Amino acid sequence: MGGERRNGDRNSLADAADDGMGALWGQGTPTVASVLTSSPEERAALVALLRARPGGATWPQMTAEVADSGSALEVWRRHSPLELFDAHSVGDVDTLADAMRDINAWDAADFTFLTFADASYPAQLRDVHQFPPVLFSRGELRQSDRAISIVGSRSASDRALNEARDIARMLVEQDVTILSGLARGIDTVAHLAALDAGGRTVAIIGSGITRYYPAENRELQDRIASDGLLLSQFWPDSSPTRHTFPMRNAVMSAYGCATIVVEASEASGSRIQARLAVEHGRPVILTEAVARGTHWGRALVGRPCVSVATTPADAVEAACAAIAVRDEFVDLLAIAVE
Amino acid sequence: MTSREQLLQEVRERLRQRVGGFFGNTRRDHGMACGICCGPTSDGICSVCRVARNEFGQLLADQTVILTYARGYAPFVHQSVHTVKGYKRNPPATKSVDDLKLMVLGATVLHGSCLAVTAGEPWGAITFVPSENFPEGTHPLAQLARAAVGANTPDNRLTLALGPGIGLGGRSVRADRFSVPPEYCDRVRGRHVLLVEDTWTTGSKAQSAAIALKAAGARYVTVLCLARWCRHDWSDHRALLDSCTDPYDAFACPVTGGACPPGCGPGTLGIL
Repeated sequence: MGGERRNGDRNSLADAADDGMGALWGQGTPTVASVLTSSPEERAALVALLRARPGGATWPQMTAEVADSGSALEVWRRHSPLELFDAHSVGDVDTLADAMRDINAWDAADFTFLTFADASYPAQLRDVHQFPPVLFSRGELRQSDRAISIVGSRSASDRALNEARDIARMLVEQDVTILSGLARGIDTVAHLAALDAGGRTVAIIGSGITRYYPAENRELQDRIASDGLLLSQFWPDSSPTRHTFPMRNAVMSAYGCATIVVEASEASGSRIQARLAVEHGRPVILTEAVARGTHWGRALVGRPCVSVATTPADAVEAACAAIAVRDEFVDLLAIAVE
Repeated sequence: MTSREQLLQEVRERLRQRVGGFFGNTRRDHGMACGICCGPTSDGICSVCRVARNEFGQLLADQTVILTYARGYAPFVHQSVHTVKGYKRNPPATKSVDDLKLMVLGATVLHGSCLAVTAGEPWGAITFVPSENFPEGTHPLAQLARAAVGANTPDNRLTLALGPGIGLGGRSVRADRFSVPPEYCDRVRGRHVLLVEDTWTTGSKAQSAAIALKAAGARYVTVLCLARWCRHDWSDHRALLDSCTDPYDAFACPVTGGACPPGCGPGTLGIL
């Protein structure tokens, strides 16, 4: 030990053949554990905590506390110290039992209930601070889904709708999943183009998983649930509100490798998603109409990860580059240390 | 450009894209930020670092290299905070792990010569600040330490043991929080040791670990810390954070806070 090796002997991250001390270093950390998954009590405690929000905690605060502790049950006990011998705690016990009963009902329904600690929870969502603690899904969950968000105005021009359609089709040819929010306009066109081209599409919605919004997209929503994937971060029966859509946009930014904004107004939800994506370190691709025609678009140009596409083909190229960059990241880490 | 220069530029650009949306560079300019911890102060060295220096002097880290700030206690959890916490959760935020690895890699590959020149030699041993929550090498911080470029071979690595004072004294620097296990003393003695930490709040953990290394005979200790934890809800902290508007630039020297030392910096070998 303590040999003469100095700076000339650079290590490689890819070097798994370490011995002795090196073997202990950073090798014992689990990548995907399922501490909460394994036990129904953990899932129930998480649901109960999100409902009870002890101390008036927000969902993100509650979620961070559970994630830091590694056990929802432990957090639950921390906030209910009198559980065993205080008459007032009967309510708490009921909350846990209620949660358990609801989870059983969800498990029996035609959708899937997931917590952030589950192995089938889309791992990339955990990359962002708005990662939803619970998710409801219909359709096929995939780990490392190569997805690109296509978003834009609900009342887009025909030209923009055509662009969205072209972009979706070309991405499907590259075996890319089309991600959108099932709203009218650009979202609808992107989902439909993907399905019609035989591609995979994922919709992240601003309501509960049993609701249909907007009503005219009912058929499309069911089609996505059967051929692609439908995700909701809200309780199954909840209605959409003006707060749920931006929350949904944060999850869309997180789910995809990049966001393409096709056409959007000054006050568009796409603007929120573009800003969030930059904050998340996810590439944002703006069409020229957005980059030049909106204040927020002009302000985003020059920020890290933001690029401007002149044609649909440009947008597709930039999106594919974003996926490639993600895929080859580990290689870069390995090469750079040689 | 040579391929090596291209590679360095690539690391810089990747980092800008991956973390530039939520991380900036630290400051250590006189009158604005502490020359040790990069926290806000107009006195050159902040009061917390000054107290530690008065008590422990040369036993503290000789050099602190802090790469960025985490914006704590914002009305919404800031992505910088999510990154420095999420990387060590179970299950982890995988992008956070990769982002921080790349930051360590970038800082050591681009500024290895900068942090060697003040010490008079490159680091020859590496460790990290352990915690009660993770036994030995299972600490997620070990993964980040592995990404440091230099004398990072198995026989130059060591883990520190937790001492009797690990949980005592709140956020004070103590000589008994950590110790170097006897079997690793050889790796430390007479050496320049790189000590990796994820967040610096008061520096009590990192400085206590530096003391343990010095007590075991380390000649020089460099702390390489990912993020200085600042509070959005404290006006002086927030003013400092708000002054760092540019996206993280891995070419900016984290050792000096200004220009790289002469002959050092990205692409140079300096005394490496």
